Amino acid sequence: MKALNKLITVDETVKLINEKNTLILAAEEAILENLPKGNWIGGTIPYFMDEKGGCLSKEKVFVTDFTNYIETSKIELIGKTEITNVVKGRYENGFTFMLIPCFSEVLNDFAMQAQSIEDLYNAPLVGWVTGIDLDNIGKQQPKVFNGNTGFNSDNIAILMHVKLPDNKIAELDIINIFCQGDGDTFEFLEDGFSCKDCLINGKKTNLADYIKATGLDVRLPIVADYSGASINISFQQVDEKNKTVLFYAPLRKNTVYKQAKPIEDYVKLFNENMPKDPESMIFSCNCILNYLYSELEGKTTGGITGPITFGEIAYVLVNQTMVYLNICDK
Amino acid sequence: MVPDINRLEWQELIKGKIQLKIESFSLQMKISSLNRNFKNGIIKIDRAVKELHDLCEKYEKIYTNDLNRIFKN
Repeated sequence: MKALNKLITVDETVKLINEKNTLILAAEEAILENLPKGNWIGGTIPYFMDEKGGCLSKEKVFVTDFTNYIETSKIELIGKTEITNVVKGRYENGFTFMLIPCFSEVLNDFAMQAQSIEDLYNAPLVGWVTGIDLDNIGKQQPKVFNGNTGFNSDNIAILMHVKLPDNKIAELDIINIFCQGDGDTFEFLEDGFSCKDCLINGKKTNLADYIKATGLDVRLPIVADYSGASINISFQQVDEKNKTVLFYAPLRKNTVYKQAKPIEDYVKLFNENMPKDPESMIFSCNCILNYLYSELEGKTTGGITGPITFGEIAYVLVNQTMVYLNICDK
Repeated sequence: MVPDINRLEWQELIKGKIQLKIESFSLQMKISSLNRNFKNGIIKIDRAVKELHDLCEKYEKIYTNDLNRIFKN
């Protein structure tokens, strides 16, 4: 049975909430704040991958319905000082779904500290970074909502810990069509979201100068190899005046990065890398940068649907990556 | 069945001595994390092996293909 994971009307969403379903919701702030209380958590975003293709919708809600797959669930709010506790409340057999607002201190702290969280990989930590219409950046803040109480915040992470039946298991996976190219190596001198000087092929170089001199295509992320997993760090801004480069996820020292190989046709490559068993998939999300750079508006990605997000959570913060969750038989 | 915790391959995985393309994302991330922590002296090899073995027991079905390829004999 395929889970409900689709863009629906507000009225259809209200019906599911009133039927006491366990839901993850994605929609504009004005919609989320007017929904009835219930067993849901929500995050702001108006971009979606629908069955008909990528779209912007300010009227509909993207609903992921866990009800038929789970035994129970509990909602937890986590502030910036507690961010390393995100997995403490999880169930032994289950997963944790996290929504976290973009441009927030709590996101920065999570991104910087996630890799040091004890037992992080013992159960899936999946989710996404909430966002806003790109035209409203600077005018509005992305938010998260607790459907149990109606509380919302732009600087809190909201978690839904989900317990699965004993005969089921959750598996988190990604589709990242970017992989390391054959170009220069980049090593960073400290952890963080920005860089002035770094080691390029072992030689200390100002990264902003290097990008200007080489004409580096900053739409392509830099990629690290984590024992075979390609983890992207996307460029946010090249500040030539201050000779600083900003990124959407933290750079790690003692890690070798290379820029991704160029991609000619995102949709074609995505379809070639589709999961073997999409029927087990109960949730997925994809990155706003893939939506923009690969011009996904109106295009479908192998029938996979979900919110288009300002960052993806696959245990850690990842960029330009599709993240998905499977529920399988044990 | 997950191979015995005393098999040498567990230590080799953590020390980065097995150059094999792991398929499961969570296993890739766990090995990478243990590899980094072991190199930086944050974790001792016995503890790292125990953590990796425990994870593989929990997710045995998901990791079957990877485990079969790592532990060929």
